[in-house]
Amino acid sequence: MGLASGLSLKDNLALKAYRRAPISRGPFISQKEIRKMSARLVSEYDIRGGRDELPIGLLSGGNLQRSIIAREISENPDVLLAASPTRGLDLAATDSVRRLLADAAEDGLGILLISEDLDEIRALADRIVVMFEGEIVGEIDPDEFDLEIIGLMMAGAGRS
Amino acid sequence: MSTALDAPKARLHLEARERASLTVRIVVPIVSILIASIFTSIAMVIDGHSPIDAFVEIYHSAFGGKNPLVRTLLLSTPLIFTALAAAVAFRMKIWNIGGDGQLMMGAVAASGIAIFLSGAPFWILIPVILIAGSLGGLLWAGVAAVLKVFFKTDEVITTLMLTFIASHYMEYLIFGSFSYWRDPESSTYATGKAIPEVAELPRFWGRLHIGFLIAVGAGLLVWWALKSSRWGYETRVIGDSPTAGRYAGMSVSKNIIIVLCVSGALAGLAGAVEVVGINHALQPTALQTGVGFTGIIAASIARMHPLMLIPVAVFLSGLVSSGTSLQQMGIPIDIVLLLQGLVLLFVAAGEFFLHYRVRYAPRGEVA
Repeated sequence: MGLASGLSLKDNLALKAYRRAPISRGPFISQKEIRKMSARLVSEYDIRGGRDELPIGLLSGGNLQRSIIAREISENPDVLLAASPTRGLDLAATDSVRRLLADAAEDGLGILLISEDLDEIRALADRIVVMFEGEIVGEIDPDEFDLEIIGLMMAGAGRS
Repeated sequence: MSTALDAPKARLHLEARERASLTVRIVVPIVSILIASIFTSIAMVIDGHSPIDAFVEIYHSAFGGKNPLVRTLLLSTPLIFTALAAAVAFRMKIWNIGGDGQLMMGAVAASGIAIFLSGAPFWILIPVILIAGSLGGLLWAGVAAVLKVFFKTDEVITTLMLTFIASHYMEYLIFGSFSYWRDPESSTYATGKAIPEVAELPRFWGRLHIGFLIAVGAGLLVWWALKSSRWGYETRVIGDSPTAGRYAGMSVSKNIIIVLCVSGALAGLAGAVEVVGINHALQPTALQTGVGFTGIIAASIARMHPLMLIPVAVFLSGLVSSGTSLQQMGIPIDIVLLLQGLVLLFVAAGEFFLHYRVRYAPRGEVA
């Protein structure tokens, strides 16, 4: 989702920025500006294994997620919706993706994190809301994080 | 049981390539063409002909000297246009296989306007004719585009069917009616009405007309547009993943329509250039050679690259143009078609080696 896996890393990083200056110049796009932006994001977000022309689908899961996060955060959004951003990643990659999200939140980005990984929620969330069958069944203060209570609520116990 | 499953001492295994080097990308197609030639040679030997004589004859009659070369380049001109038409569409995974129909409608439009504007000077006439030809092809492909976007009709079916309609319509105009396009003087064998002489494309090298240069120019233009325009970028993204395109806010429908129209316009230009460059009238039989389908072959061999397809189109045209000389040697034209088909087959199969390398690894070293 949000990736064209057969295209290069740089083309994927430009997926949103391509319609604005400096990449867009009237009906044309500047390959030079795409390369410049790509190089900046690659070093800023530590995206590894991706030469500019390589199909992005060949990158590892962690680098893919970091590429997507890099692209989205560099657009300066007000809110970022992250649904299971670390699913399927190894420990090191999970850690780096979480750190990116935490840093972005620190910088004032609102992040709605959707996850079933309770450790992830404990590590990242400032506010926790539990949903069951499409309804909000309760809110939990992160300082009183309790796996058992959250688990019960996730199973529907908190529903009135 | 375990002995049966025992792996051999050493084995070949495949390894994905990140990106094939330039050498690999050049060597693989050449080897593919050589293998196709070997198989064609086998067919020739079975048929009782000497393959070496045949290949020497193909070379001489297609590329050896000015006249053969001009003939080949003339044949390649419409092919370059239809190959471009295929490449533009196929890159976005839009399967426009109706290049022939769009070519014919382009020829109908071009010859019609040429006869209509017979008093106009040449510098107005030629551009207007070429524009009319591309519009004819554009509108014909546009029908398939509208059906695809609004009714989700498969463009493989519609573009193919529209080719039959165009073909019969063109025959009706010349053979089946006394239409504006038909030469009223021709009665026993109906022919198209001749376009004014000023509308004929200028020639610059023997019989070679400037249509060939226009085709090469079109190739450069398409190459540049796909590389450097927002439109080219959008078609690349949508071709790879429509979901990603939509996510980025691109209109998939709009791009389908644009791509099919550009593709149709290129095929229509092929028809217009044939009318003003070669036939100088609407001649149905001259346009029913299946050059639209050959264009798909050329574009596929060139892996949809707008510049690479030009030498490929010239090469394939050389094979066709050598057909008559081969027939004089007693070798049927089907051998040439066989060679064309085999080249496509082996080049397509060779694609595999651009993505994978085969490695010989002794047992135990396999990662």
